[in-house]
Amino acid sequence: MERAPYTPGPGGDAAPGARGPGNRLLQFTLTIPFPSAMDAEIAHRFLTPNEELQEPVREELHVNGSILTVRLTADDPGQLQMSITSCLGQLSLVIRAMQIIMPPFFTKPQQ
Amino acid sequence: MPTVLGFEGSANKIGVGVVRDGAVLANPRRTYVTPPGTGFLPGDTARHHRAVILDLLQEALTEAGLTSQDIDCIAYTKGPGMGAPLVSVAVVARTVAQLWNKPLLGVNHCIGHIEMGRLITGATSPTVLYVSGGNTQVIAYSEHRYRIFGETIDIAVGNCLDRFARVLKISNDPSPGYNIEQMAKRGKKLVELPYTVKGMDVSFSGILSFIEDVAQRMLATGECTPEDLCFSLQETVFAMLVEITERAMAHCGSQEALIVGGVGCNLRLQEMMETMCQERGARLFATDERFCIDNGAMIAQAGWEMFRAGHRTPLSDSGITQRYRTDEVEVTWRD
Repeated sequence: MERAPYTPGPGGDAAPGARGPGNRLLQFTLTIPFPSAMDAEIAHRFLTPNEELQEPVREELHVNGSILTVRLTADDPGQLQMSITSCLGQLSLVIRAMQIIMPPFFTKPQQ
Repeated sequence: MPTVLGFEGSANKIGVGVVRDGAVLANPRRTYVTPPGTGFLPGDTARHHRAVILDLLQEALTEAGLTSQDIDCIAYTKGPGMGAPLVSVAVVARTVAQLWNKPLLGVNHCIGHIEMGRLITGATSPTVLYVSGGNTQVIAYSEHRYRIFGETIDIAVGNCLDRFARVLKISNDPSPGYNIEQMAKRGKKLVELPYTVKGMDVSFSGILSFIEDVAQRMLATGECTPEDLCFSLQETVFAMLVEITERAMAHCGSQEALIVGGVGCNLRLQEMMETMCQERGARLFATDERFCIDNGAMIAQAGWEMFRAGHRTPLSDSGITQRYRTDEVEVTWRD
């Protein structure tokens, strides 16, 4: 069986799912450790998948303690690859936002 | 006096605006510009937006002299637009709203343009010509909805201009439409193009196909210059827009016309619309590039109206929608 494309990342792996020949389902799973369970839950809420953009790649998010798990599932390797890139970009943005936006980082500008 | 922070990023412009009681306190914006001959793709555009949005947020708050505690509501563009850029902006709006514990509002992009146009110009109940790279609609308010009286049946007028600019490899900086407008001023010959008004609607895809074909042939033989083609395209498509706007004004008995959207910056379009309005004894309203072109303050302004009227967007509904019709929104903030 042909292996799905590998994308490096903390706890990330891509593996072929269980489908018959000629009807391959690909899956990418990314696990991200956060400093605390609260941080993981906050990131989970920020990254709520957009229902309208689910097809043709399905995105699932789960939190278990301080670990956030992202799972992407698709038939087409090209679309899966694009989704992985997009997902990592959004994850990076959310983490940066959490680091920057949380008070007291936004203080009143000096007059 | 509520203060609303608005995020806009449905196409290649990303903006963050702050509005309080009809005053625009901040409105910084960045544009993702691609090389001549190319257009902007969703993934690349989203990447651009993600790279600058947090800096824009800080810039907006600094310009307004505010902190997170001064903000009462977070508004963002729910749609319509390009999926990946919309998602990138929605993610940040959702993040900000939750971290600052502020209510969230998903705003229709088209209504953002209309509400900012009404605010800036003071037009009371105009027939609106909304023209941009992604949308072309003639809109009028009736019974709590912005009703679409006419629209393009295929591509937007701005998309037609932008794609023609690619054929001629016209620069996209600051925008292809602006550069076409400057070239059109130097055009001398009117090349006859298809004129496609279909009742209250318009069609631009055929004109684009035609001019793409004509351009190669006529430029090669020296029958016309690129400036002539820019001039001809503008005269044709703008005349079509004036016609359907006038038809809607006649239908509604309207004495006001308002142009919004990026293509609304075009001075030739404003001139043609002004001529039509004068002939009808009507008034024309238009804004400048700060508010014609996609910006965060217009989303903040629409959000301000919606917030005061009691609208809220629950987290479960805080996604985006690429196809969001102008008349889907119940305009409860107007009589």
